[in-house]
Amino acid sequence: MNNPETVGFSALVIILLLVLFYGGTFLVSTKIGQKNENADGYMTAGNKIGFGISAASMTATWIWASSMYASASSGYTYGISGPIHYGLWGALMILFIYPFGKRIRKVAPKAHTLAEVMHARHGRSSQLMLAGSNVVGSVISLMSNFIAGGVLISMLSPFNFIQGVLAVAGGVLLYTLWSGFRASVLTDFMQVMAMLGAVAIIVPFIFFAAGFPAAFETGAGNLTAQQSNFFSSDAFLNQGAPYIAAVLAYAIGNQTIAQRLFAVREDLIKPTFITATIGYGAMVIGVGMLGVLALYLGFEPTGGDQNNIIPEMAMSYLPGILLALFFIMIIGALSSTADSDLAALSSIMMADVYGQNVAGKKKANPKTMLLVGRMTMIVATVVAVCLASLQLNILDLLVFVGALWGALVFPVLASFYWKKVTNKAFTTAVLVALVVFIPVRFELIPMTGFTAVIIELLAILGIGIVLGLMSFGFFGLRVAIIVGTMATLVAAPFCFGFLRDYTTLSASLVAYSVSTLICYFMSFRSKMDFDFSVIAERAGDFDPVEEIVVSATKGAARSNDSNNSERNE
Amino acid sequence: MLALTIYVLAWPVVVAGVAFFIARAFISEAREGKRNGEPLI
Repeated sequence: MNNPETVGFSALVIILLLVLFYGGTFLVSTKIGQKNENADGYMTAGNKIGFGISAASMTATWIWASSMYASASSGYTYGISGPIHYGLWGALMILFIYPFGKRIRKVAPKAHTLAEVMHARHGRSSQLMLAGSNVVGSVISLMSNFIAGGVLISMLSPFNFIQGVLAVAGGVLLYTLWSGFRASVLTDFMQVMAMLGAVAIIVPFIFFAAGFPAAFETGAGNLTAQQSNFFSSDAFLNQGAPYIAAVLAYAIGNQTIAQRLFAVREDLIKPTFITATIGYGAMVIGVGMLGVLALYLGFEPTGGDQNNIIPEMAMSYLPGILLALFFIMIIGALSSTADSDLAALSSIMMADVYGQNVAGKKKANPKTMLLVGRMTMIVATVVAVCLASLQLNILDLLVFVGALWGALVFPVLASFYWKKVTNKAFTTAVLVALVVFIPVRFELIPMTGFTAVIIELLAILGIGIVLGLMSFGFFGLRVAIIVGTMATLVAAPFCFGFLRDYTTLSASLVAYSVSTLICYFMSFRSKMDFDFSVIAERAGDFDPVEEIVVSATKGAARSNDSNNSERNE
Repeated sequence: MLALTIYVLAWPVVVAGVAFFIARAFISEAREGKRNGEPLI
């Protein structure tokens, strides 16, 4: 089919929309700005954020422009079940992480980063490995959000890609720089409202404007048998399964999630994660349905690039005002994740690099920490803009980093529950898992004969470990062992001779299994009897208590002043 | 056809529900904060 004619915006309209969006978020951030921010507030907002903001922020951070594009791409490629195999598993991972989140928070109630807790638990090498992987992930994420912004602006307006990247990068930095994490979570609320509201309106509008539901009949011939099947094995094996393996690692390896875990009030962790699970799932699957509609319509994205599906569907079927809403939705999605990445990177540099390793916990100066945090945001933005100009393949990078994080999952989680895990076991397990992961992922070793059988054996063990870890969080060790063992035994007959053709999936699973095996066998005979109660002392506030009290009092006074002035008005 | 229509349009409905739920919590916490003289964040 010929694609319908598309519409775009003039330079003036795009500038007005950007000023409206970034100007509005900047104004909101100034409402909470304090002349003398404290370092702990800059990183975790005092560890007592309420449900409304935390649920909004967790949802907004987990949703980014790439997740919407990828969900639509999955719908376009794998048919009606495609968006489910992107969005549902991603959503469930938020849910599966929350029991671990509760444990992590119990052990380290005042921490700022997971790596900081690893320093308290094990020492420097474990901390820096986790912090290093967090930094790589956040820089890639930041870059990819800038790329998505640049592409969108260049597609919808006369501005070019680089101008679009600079506009988004400058806008995000503008409202995040001064108040850090506090600005990030508050503006997340506005951004998630815009995103959710836009999806609730735009998806049904495009559905009817494009001639559905009648097009389900007229376009049925555009789908293959697999694409028409809700239980498509193609969709599960190529999209769903690798994603299940990668996303559990994302939740552990991504500092943006950990930062919100440490910021929310402890008793609100469960409702926050459940709401974010439903919000993320419905939003990403809902947007992914645009890919399914495009498939039924025989819609062809420009240049065959599936990242163009969503913008081009919007440009084809939405009137100007809704196209503006769509633009705000995508800009909101990418900005909310980008500001979270900036806040995450600044926290890592403040707490893990300066606080723990340069100055030392007791000698760290909160004012210097704030300077480090703000400088980090500026440098990270410049680096991400430079990398964005290279227009690297984002999804390949993300899948690589996600699988890389698989090597960290067991050692990190075990460190919160098992007293015997040592720093040596943690470090060795992660390094060896990486050494095995890389040749499998990049097919540097032939996946034939004995080598293939060994890789498949490790990958099958990895299936049991992933499912066992998921069960462990909710049901404890006994159920986890039963589930893990059963999963391994059930998967084995189907996977030998089969997994070798799916190297992305196999490599992720191998990273899990190798790190688990090494960490377990190096730890189970160790004499380490770690006392978890010391973590709370070692990973606590950096600001002196009196400064936190003064800061809170000023906030309260400001709030009272605001109340009084409103009453007077 | 009806099943597919419901399948596609159910998600925006859930999204609207979540937006309402989060907004209601935010407003209630903002009001409570004002009453107690505490900053929202």
